[in-house]
Amino acid sequence: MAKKLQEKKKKIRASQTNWEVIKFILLFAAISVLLFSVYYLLKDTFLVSGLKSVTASITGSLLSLVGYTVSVEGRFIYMEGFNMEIIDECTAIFSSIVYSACVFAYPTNLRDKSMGVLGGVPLLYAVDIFRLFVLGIVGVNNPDMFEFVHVYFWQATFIIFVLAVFIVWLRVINRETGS
Amino acid sequence: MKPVVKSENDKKIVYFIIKFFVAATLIMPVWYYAGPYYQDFIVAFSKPILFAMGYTESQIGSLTLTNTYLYNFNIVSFLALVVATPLVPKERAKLLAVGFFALFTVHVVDLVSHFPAYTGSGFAQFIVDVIGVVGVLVPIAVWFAMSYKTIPFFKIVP
Repeated sequence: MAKKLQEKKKKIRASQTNWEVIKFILLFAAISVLLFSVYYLLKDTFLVSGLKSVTASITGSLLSLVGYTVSVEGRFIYMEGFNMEIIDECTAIFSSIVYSACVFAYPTNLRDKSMGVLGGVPLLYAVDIFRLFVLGIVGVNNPDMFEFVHVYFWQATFIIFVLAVFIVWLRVINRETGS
Repeated sequence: MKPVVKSENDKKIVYFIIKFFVAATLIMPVWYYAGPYYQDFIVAFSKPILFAMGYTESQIGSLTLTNTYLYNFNIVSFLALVVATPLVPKERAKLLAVGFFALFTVHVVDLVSHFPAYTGSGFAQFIVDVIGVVGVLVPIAVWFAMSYKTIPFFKIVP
């Protein structure tokens, strides 16, 4: 009898976990598309174009700091024999959308979620600036490698940094709740 | 000063991330050569769909595909995730099959949507743009859905 009850409890717990997982994935997908739609509505406004200009300025300043001759005009970065245009994808918007969707979909309180977004999004932006900085250096010194490094840094780091920041956030909130 | 890596679980996280980076770095050069064949396959598969949508052979042929295989790079990221996750071979094979099918579908939809987007369809343009997010969402969602039981650091029920 006790064994049967235990098995039943186990089954209920497993189905609860499965439901939580399905809910998480569905919410993750839905929130990603919702956040993307918000970005889509704003993409031709000064908010996104301003972000591109700021990103270009920061990247240009960092490249100047290490000795490159750089001039920045709006979203364009001009270097010695190599120019870069900062497009929407270069501003960490997409990684921030996917990351924020992960955080919002995870079953925890609003305080933890806010902490996750406010801490994680700037971190992803910093990673993105570093990526652009490296790309600028590659573009000037080895332009043939630019496309390869561009895609490698875009996709591989995109996924892993989203996951890495999300995992770190999970560890922080799980430590705080003692689980 | 407190140590950053505290528990066995933390070590597993760090090990997972390192394994992911190493796997992605090793798989990337392979994809550099294999990618164009995959791209050809995507085009061949998409052709009947495009014909059904009313596009002609010459319209389809005018599509420039130089370096576009690099934009299907999420396959590399997905493979690296599969390699880095501790799974038994049967589960790994299942994850690979489902993941490849999902990503292949995304790549076909991406290619097909470019045609109506080019001729001014707002919805098709939205699909082309949203693929930037979906292309990252799909590998993570498939990976998580099929391996969450074995991901040591992911407790979905807090």
